[in-house]
Amino acid sequence: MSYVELHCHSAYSFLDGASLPEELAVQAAELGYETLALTDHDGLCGSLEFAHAAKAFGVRPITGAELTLTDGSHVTVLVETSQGYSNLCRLITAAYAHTRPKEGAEPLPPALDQRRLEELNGGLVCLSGCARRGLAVRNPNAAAALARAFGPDRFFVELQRPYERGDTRRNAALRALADALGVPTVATGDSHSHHPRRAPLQDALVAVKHRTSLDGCERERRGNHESVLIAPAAMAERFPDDPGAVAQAGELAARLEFDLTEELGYRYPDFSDGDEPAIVQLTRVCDCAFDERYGGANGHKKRARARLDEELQLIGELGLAGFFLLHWEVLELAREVALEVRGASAARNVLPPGRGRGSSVGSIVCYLTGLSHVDPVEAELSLGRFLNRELESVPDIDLDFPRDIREKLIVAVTEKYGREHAALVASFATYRSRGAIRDLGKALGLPFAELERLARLTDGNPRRVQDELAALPDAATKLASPRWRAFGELCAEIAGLPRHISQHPGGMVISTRPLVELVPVQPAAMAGRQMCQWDKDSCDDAGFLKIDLLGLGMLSAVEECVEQIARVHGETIDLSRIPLDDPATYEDIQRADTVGAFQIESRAQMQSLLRTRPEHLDDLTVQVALVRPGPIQGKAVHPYIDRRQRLREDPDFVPPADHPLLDEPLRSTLGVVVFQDQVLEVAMALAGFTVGEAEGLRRAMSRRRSEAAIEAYRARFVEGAQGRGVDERKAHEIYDKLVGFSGFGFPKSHAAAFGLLAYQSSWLRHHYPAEFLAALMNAQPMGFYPPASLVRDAQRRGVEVLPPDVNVSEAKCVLEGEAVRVGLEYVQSVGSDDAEAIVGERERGGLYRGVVDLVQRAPAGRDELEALVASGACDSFGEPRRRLLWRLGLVPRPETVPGTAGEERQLALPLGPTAEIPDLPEQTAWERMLADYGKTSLSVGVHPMELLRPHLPQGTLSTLELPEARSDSEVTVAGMAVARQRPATANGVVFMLLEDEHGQMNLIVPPQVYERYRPIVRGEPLLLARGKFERRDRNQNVLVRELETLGPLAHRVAGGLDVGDVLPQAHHFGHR
Amino acid sequence: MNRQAVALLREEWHVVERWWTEEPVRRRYFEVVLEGGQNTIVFRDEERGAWFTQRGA
Repeated sequence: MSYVELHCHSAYSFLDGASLPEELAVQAAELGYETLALTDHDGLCGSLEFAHAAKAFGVRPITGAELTLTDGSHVTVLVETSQGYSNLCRLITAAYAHTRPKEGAEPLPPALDQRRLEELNGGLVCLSGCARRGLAVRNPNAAAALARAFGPDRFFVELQRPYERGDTRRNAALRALADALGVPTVATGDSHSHHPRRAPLQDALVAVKHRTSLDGCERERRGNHESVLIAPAAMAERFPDDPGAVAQAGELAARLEFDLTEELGYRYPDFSDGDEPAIVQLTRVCDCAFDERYGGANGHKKRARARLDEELQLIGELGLAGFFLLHWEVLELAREVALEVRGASAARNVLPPGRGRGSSVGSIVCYLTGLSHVDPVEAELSLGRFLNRELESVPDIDLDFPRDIREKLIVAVTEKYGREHAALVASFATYRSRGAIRDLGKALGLPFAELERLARLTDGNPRRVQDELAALPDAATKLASPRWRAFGELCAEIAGLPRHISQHPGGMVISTRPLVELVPVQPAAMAGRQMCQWDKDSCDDAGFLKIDLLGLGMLSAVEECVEQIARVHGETIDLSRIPLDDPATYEDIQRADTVGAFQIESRAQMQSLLRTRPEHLDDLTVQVALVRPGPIQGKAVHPYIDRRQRLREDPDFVPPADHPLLDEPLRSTLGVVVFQDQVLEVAMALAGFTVGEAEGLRRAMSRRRSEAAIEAYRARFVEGAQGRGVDERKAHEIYDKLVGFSGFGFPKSHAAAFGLLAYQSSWLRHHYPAEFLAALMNAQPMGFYPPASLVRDAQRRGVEVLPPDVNVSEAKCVLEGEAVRVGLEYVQSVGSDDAEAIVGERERGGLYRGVVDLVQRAPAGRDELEALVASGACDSFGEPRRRLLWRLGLVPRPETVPGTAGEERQLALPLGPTAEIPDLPEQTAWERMLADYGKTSLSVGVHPMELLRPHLPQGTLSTLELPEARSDSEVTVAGMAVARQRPATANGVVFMLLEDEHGQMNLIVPPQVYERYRPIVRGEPLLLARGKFERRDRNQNVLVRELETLGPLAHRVAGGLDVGDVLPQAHHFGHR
Repeated sequence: MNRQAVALLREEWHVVERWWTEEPVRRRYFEVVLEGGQNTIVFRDEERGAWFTQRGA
């Protein structure tokens, strides 16, 4: 019987295993393994991924894990039956139960009580553990107890040969133990990587795990590079004295027939246990809502009824009534949560608790059950992708909530269905270049400052760190050092490896059968939350229904805006009833005056808006979907924009599609693919795909591990198209566009939901600019622009913004008359608790009368008080900031009485300070402006460019002057960088947005210019750019030829201040 | 070894260390009993391609 590896770690043994499950699967097949077990530490995170990958390469997967017991010993547990699998899931769940005793603190390592393992041993096989920390090695008596529990059929003493000193003696002792217990021995390899190439990385991961350097973890490292997957015959050679143990591995493997890829027995709560069938319950819910929504005369009641009957019929056939009822139930729960969160605010309670995104928006049943807020009949949305007769798995439903509601809802759902039945989906943070540089650089003991510099320069892909190193000015010195060389090589190897588990933004799985028997569940970082060990792809493979409860910052902002309006004007705005054709709102949108609006505020969106000029909600639906990687790679953007322009000039123009068969499916988007559903429609119309086949293609495109699957559909597509008279080359060309589009596009229904929110936010922005600004600032971080830019934009539109003030400001930003008063939370180091306490004390004891009064009454630390003064929040005391700071330093503070744990405070005598205040120079305009930016991240006063303007080279154009320049003329411009974008789809071009005292301007930095001036582009806040002014249609850009930092000039003009360190960093988007 | 034949190989182990430095270590160690009865440890230094006797073993 050939050797089978029964003890093997993947990178899901975080910071220990050095290879992905797929890599192990491929290598196992290459080496001639017919079977391979995956036994990651205390988890099944990679097990399903491994099982599918192994089967794809003809290797039979065995599921298992290496469990850590409470005394720190390890045992290897393998699954024999499905009962054993459930037990293993429960055991791992139990091992994690107490790993998060305190929110915010480091998690404790998982640990399993051996008695639990003895109880739940059914269907499992236990091996006695690894060479270093195995239970048999560390505690033979405990191993004997386990052997008794499992019995001689299912307990094996594990022999390993890692070529460490002491192997001979240890294995002799283990053989003796096996004899004494009357159990067999089995040989295992304890592989930690799939290839010798990864062995150095495995060493480095050990250092990262122990937060030390390679030099500092000699004891923890393996000491050599033998723990690598090697061929079965080579493994047998390592055990010349134990042929029986080698053969045993093969024999045992043959017994372990459990297949994780088969049905696990998952079912979602489907309402089948009620008195009435689920479909009857659902029909009643829908009928009730139907009368409410379509009761009045609204033109399409008849069509809506027909659509509802059709959908209910289909849902009945598919047996999905329970699925919709489940979502309805979750949403009812959300309604309760919303009521609790929103409190008495009537304004917010008009709003639905959340709204649908994704394809569910196309369903009238979803509309009626409150899952979506777009009337699909009125908006002419198709149901196709969401529900069809060939559906292979349940559709996803995505729901967006304001953040505060979502926070509570996640916990409420877990409580409602029970902690054994509901959990969040996991997500695995994988190594990108910054993490790789920091972790591996530290492991190799490289200088921190140099690593940080390199981390700032890289573009995200760790495989390219080697090239980045070679391009450094001191490359030759670096590459002469073995540490730097190893660094480059290790960065390339670590790319894409998972670093740790974290929770998916909002995906939840609910199961009728206890979820903890289907996948291990562990506590998440936030209190009350728990997550399963599978990511969304594994959950999908397992057939789990995922409900996405997502937090959307703009929904929070919109809700708050409505609340501010109600507070200030006493008006209740019902956003579902605002006019959808407001000319003033569309004027803003067409002018790309959209800073802060949802989805259409980015630089790329603005440039596109100027040319597409959306006129109604349908246009906005296309607009939000258009400027996305899918349509860009699918080569849809330019044709769409051009055709739209031609259509404006010639209303009779008929946009051409790639083939007449596509005229109909692509009519609404002028002949190009903009929406994900159109991929399906193209495949059906052009290649005769059935709905199910087309959905299969879409699914293949939306996943990260499926290039092969996408190509597999190509032949079928081209053949089908040829059958319909399409030229072969044309068919390939269209398929290429679909592949380019891939998963990076919105379904139309999703775009409709986002388009509506884009409109609503634009409408609020236009009609209630101050309230909107305050709401946006309170919902940060979100969107494309830093708060400083939002403030400047609002000021340009006439909104008065007032600085924070301890005697006027609330904790958050609020309206003060017509103006926006910045909240105390915006002062750095003043948290929301501090801010509320300062406001609370003011409301209780009256205005603060001066800095002495503030220090003695305000419940905040000295650092926070200093920040308040420095930020200008105490300017209303009527003294210059420097004098206030001086005073602050002299005032005695109330001290805590020792031994009362801070409960009792000894009041300081309210004596005035006796020392004279020396003559302190007044702050300059530069100092005040920098203090504003430094302490509040924004400034409502003078713009740095206004102060710098008189010192700029002659002829430097401002944003007011630039539009007057001749197109294609040479110009010099200057400004503060607010956003920088390096889209993956733009071949290395960097787009920058500069701001000056009058507005914003666009720079385009071509790749070769970027390479030359990279440190300036990436790090300098104040820039001067020379290049060609390009006016194309309504777009204006400066195509940059040369860049200069204005840092030294600002430093000089500002009288020696470090301007660059204080101004806000530009927001960065896309590749680095 | 030392002009004596090896009577018994007690154990073989491998060390790969300090591969990130100027002085990488790649050795195969052998604990042997010589014909004369002495225990000794020798190693093959793969970096230098030579055999050594461990001192003090």
